[in-house]
Amino acid sequence: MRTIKTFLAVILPAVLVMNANSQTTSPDRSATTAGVFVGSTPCDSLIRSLLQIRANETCEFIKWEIKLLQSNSGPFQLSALYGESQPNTNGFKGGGKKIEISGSYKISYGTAGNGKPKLYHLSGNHLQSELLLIQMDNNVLHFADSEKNFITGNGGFGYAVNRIEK
Amino acid sequence: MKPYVLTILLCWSLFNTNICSSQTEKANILVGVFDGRTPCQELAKQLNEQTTPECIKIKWRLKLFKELATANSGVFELEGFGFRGANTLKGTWHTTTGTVANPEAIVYQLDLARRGTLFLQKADDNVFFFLDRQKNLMVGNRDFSYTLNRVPNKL
Repeated sequence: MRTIKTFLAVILPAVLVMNANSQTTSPDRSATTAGVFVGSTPCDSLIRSLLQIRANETCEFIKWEIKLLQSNSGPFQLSALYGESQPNTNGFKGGGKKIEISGSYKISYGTAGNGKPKLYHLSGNHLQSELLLIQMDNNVLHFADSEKNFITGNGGFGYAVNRIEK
Repeated sequence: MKPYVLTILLCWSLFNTNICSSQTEKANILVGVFDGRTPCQELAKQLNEQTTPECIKIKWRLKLFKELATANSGVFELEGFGFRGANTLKGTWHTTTGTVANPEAIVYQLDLARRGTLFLQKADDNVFFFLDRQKNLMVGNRDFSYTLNRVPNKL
């Protein structure tokens, strides 16, 4: 009887608290992510500011290629192609303008709503502040703002990048 | 026909009418409107739709409704591919838990009459990811990803 009481008093609340704290996303921490990720995103003020794109430049969307060169912390290379969209194509008028960035990245864990997801912090030349990417799984990363919230896209583009190479 | 039989039939029809109208009015809270553009081929397959190699993208608009603010189920309307206007896909949704990569992820299961099921992983209140039938995240390309993003409510 005493064992049952102990279970009810200590173990059960602990289990309930652990369940209550489980959040929306908590991908596998052990997944390795070195590789090449591509995608197209909007060019909102947050990203403009991050890439230091001048206010008078036309930037309707951005095509990203992000190379994470090691599985955990290490160097990265990034290219961001932006400009005015060429109607009826997936490209830019005049080919667009490219920003090339290289630097290093480190790992932390936790987003605004969840302590578990793996977060990539990219720092490099031409980046005004850290570029944050949330790991959804081994193939998909998603941009986060400085508060570690998912950035919301629009009807045209989201803020995910997708693996094309290991 | 005897009067009491008519009375019973009348009551029965009124009762059924009330049930029908309450079902359509039940799921009337708009959870949100979510738009996105995804690659075409894989999701067309999931919906058992034939397509051509020239189809490179699908524009989607998902509207989720539920009966109560706290409910984990409701009805949906999904526009995209050839399913627009009178052909808009409609069905019921409910939440489940777990994807291949993340056993704690919240998954919205959209049940489409005669077209199987679509799975969406909730990243937060504003962003959803399409999952394949095995509940893996679908991997996009340079131009399109498999996300839906909240847009201002448009009924």
